[in-house]
Amino acid sequence: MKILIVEDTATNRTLLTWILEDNGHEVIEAADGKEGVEQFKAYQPDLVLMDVLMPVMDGVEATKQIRSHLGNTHVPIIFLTALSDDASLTKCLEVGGDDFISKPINEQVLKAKINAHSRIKELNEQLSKQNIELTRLHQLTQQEHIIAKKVFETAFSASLLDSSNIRHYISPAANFNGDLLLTAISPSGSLYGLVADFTGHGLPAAIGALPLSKAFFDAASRGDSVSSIAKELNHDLGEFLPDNMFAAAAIAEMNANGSRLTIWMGGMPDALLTNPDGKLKQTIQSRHMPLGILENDEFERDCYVINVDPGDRLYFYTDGIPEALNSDGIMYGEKRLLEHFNGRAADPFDSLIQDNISFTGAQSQADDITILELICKPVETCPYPRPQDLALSQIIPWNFSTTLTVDELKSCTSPISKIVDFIGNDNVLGSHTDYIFTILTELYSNALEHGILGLSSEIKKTDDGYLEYYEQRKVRLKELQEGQIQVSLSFRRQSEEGILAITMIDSGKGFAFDTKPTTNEHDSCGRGLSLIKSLCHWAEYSENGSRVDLEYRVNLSR
Amino acid sequence: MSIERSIDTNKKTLTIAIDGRFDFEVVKDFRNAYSEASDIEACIVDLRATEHMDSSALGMLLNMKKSLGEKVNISIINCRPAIKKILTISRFDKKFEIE
Repeated sequence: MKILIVEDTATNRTLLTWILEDNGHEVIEAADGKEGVEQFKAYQPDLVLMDVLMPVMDGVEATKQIRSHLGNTHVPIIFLTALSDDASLTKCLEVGGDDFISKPINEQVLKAKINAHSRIKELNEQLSKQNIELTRLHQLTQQEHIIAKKVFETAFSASLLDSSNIRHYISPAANFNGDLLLTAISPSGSLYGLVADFTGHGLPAAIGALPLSKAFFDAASRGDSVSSIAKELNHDLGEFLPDNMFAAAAIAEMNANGSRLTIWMGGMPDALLTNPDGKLKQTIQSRHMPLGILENDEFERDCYVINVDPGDRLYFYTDGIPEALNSDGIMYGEKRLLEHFNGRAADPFDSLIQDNISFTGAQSQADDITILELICKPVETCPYPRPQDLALSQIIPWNFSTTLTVDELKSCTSPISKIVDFIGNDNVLGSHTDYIFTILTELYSNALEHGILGLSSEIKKTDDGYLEYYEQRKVRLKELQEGQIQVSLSFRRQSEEGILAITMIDSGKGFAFDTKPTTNEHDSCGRGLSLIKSLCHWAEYSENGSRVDLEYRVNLSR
Repeated sequence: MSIERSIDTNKKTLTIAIDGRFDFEVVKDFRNAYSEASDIEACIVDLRATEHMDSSALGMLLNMKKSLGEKVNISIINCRPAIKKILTISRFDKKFEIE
């Protein structure tokens, strides 16, 4: 150890130096307090032996200065003193001394004290090192929480639908605690809502939210039923998350006209259904385990199916609401919550939120709070993103043509799907592929069935005939030796209209396309043609029915 | 592509769900889905997972209507916009409850 001796008596200094050097220490000497402070700053010793009474500057003042120089670092200072009155000794400790050794100095005591203080110093250094590490880790965690929260809020708030059927309230706690709110529209126009509450906090919870939301949006875009969505999410979470992590969740689907709710709930507080006046009609309890716990074969997918009246409202909320604490540590509780749903609150959604906030007061929010309100009425929102503004000059004309031969006609997957896939890439027609698919499918059915295979719709007039027709189609197609269907598509822009011209020519003998009487509405056949005509701008069969030309138009001005 | 059939014994409602394309490929399966149902009061055709339908599907629906009789209320639910358009163009809203 490096030891500084501050002592005005030269003989004492020399004696101490001998003892310390014999014990393997490095020694620095100073003859008074002032020199002691200077030497201390110059050599940064590990321990100081300090005389009390010295000329120029005494030991008390020198200790004071050394301590203020050191700040939080600890270097033991041991006073060497002949003084024995309590007041002087106390004074020495008060200014930052750590111990005393009485003069005359006993070598054994000196050695023992130096050892003891060197141990304390080591412990101190360890502690301060750990402290620095801890502070660093704490800052890192804080940072992660901030990132998690940020990722979460931007990623998921953007995905919330702008719909008059939905109101929501999300209030994350200072640290992200794992609440998730997702909404989506199914292809058929029904509305999905999901409120989930993950176990755990911070990053782990945010990570769990990612697979959950992906699975949710995938399922929503397929138009899956609530029970299938629940099963899917459960499976995905089970696969992605460690065993101790899971998510309580409530999933609802409201059909497009807002008359029916389908609800699956696992591990969530009761959902509430009110009438238009905000009076509680029904409490809906979670009947299942949270998502991510049960294996696929144990999972229970049964749902509530509730027929609702126009204007009814469904509320999902996370436990952050009933479990909110006020400054006295009292919980908000179920009873206070339900009071907003007795029909007297003008707007239960607002009054619950306001009351909950004023209840907790200055108390910092301990858990995330999420509330979702679904208003039962026809779903109002744009189910598909609006087509982006297209500069007319960016629209280019194109032609596509193909001749389908026997091989393609026999293929079990319809060649029409392939053709429509090509069209799907066009920036104007991309959003019209459903209708174009229908048109092409009908044209193709006519060309193949009536033109090439020579089937007559007359067969289809009865229920059994209907089956018979398609049985014959199968047989004749299998035996088909020759025949082809030529499909040509061309797209062009004419001022503010996009025009897709379709021509389909088959090698068949043609069919009686125009002799067919007007379709009776009870007949189960003959609808293809009228369907085509109502979807297109115009359509015309010619060459005895083996050729059809039509135009499908898209309005480009908005 | 598949047809799923489920029956709610309490409510006597038959639900037929069609996954993928509703076209001539499923003629037989679709007919089987309702032909053995007796004593049902309502039938729901759930098209939530149906991506496309063609005119042969329209025929199938009409055949079903004939076979089940006027007493059975048939509703077609969860139609995507393109499918709804086909049903509306063909005036199916007159004979079926389209939701």
